[in-house]
Amino acid sequence: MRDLVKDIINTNTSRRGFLSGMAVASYSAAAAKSALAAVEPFIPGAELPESWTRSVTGTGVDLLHEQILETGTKYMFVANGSGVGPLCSAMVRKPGLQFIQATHEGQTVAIADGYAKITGKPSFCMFSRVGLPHSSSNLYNAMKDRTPLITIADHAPSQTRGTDGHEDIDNWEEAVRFYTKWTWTAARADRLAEWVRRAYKVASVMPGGPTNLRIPRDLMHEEVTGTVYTGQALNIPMVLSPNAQEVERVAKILLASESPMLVVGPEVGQCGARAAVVELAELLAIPVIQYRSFYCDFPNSHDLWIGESNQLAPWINAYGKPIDCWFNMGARTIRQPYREGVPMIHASVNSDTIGRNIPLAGALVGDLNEVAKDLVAAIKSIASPEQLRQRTVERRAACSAHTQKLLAARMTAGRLSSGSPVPWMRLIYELRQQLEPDAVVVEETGTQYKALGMLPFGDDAMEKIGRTEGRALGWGVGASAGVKLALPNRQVISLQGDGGFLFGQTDSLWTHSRYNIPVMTVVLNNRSYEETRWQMLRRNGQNTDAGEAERDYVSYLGDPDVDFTALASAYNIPGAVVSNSDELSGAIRQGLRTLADGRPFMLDVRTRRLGIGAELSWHPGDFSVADLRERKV
Amino acid sequence: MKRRIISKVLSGFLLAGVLTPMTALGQGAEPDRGMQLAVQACTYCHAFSNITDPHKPLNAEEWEFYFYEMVSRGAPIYEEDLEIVKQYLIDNFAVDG
Repeated sequence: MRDLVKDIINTNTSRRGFLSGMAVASYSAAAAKSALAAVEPFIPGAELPESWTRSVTGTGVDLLHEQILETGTKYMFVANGSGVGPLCSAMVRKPGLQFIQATHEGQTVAIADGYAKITGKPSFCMFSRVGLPHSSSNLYNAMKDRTPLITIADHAPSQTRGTDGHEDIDNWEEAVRFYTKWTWTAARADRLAEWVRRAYKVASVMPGGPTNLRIPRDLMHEEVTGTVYTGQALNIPMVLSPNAQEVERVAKILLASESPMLVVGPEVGQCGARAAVVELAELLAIPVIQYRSFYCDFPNSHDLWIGESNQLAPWINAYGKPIDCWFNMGARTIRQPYREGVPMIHASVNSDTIGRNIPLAGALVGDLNEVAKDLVAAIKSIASPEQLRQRTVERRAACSAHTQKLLAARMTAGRLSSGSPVPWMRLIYELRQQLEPDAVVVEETGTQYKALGMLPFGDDAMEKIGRTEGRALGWGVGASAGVKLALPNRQVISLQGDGGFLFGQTDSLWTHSRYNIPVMTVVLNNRSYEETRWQMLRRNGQNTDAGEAERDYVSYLGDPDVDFTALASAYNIPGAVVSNSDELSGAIRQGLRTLADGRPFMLDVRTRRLGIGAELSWHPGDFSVADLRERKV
Repeated sequence: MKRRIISKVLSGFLLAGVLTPMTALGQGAEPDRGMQLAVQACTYCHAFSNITDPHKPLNAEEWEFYFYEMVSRGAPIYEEDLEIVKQYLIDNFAVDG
């Protein structure tokens, strides 16, 4: 649908072509009409009700500013650059936006991404024209996650663009074409509001994603009269209902299944469908696997929550019946063993991904909240409560016994782990004891099980944001600032590896400090890129040449031995170093007190390395540039 | 030597299909229950040779750490079986020191 939306607003397809394309993509006729109604106002030349527009006279940037305000945006995430100057002046003329500044564009996008992920609403960034390359790592992350955000930058003046002039290259917008849903360089000052509106709408239409708008500097200063579109023109509800016949067919497949498995992914969270999916899972007592996601898409303390993919085989063994129907709700890329001769149903808001990798027995295209609700209704219309009870009671009991015993074992293992350096599971256990029940955890650790396995996430529990599916490190500390900004009344902690933190994230501490953002950054500091070390030293059960030689070329981080509290201190952020599990409880308490006082906190936990090469400290650090010198200068 | 013998015995059990599926978890009290549970749980994700021939010899404290780490990341062992499996690993595979 992403391409269809882009095509119709770029007039590359007609309204009829749009509806046909939606039908081909398996959307219902009602969903197609709803989507058309949502994008119709954005088709050039479309007639809009008078109440949806207003005329504004001012500079080009005034139009841009007014249009951003019309979207209901409160915060503009910025990095310094003279290209932001015109907007600064516009804000003097008409206050309303609050700037949230980062020290460079990569972290600006990370903060905006965190804000957009937790709110589900598009966020705006603005920075210098030459900041685009710096921003692109987290733009890529946002694109992988389909996070709605809009980046705006200035651009070489109209008179000189295309001359390989100062701070200019040809076709700037092409640089991020694959990291954005839409990228554009404006050409007229009086149409700036129109392009802002388009960037906003394209970013927010499910599946979302970043958009990029560049504006020649002279257009921002040009005096013009133009049209600004009011909130009503931006907030047309779009209900993407699945095809009713397909819903009924899928309901019958699910009812006939003896041992179904539901796989959930990030579209569940993005559609706000978690509660509806829980109702569906409970109705049929379907066990649930969480696929890779930056949300926890099904409550992980629920007795139907099996865990991640590696928990599948134990469940099958415990239940004693092989999976005879897979139902993927919103997970992006599912591979083996899901397709081994077993029917697969896929529900997604993104028609591009339906059936992309696996032949399907059923395909439901639509908003997953609608899909889940429609399935619940269809199932209830087919089977009586007594029939449903008979089909599900034994499976629910078996699943509950299995999952609750495993959860209890994980918690016990965390509680009993101790020592120095600190076992990571003890850290997570201690956090669970002290964090508020609705805390938000922004995580960018190696794999999500560290948070997902032991902290309770769900609608009435904690919330998990991260790690990004793009996996480009350097996102979490900034993202946690955006999350706290959106949810100032909830505790927010950021779980980071030392390696991930060193991907330029010290810079976001500046933002934490400047705006009194009370987030506790917890660095799991094992002085190593652990998972890369495993893969570099051993492959397919055999040592690699580097493993055989016990040479850890690029994963060891103990030299220099970074003191993350010292880094935080440079930004006037207090912190604590924990080297022994006995110190954890007090240090976490100190951190949470600091948050309560309105300041950020850094907790540097020296954690224990494990696995292949854990004991190695060899690294190519004996190479010294100073030793190359023939003169001591 | 002790570890090698256990490894060969376990391999034989696995090949012969003697070890039962996880439906037996939490039931019975066979003398070899620790071994059975360990083999079932560990081999979902990796070869049992990771236990019998780890990347480096592990002492009792290290086995405890790795055992709890694996359980925390999802090794399917029920709470009531934690102690018996941990003790099995330590008794059979830990080196002194």
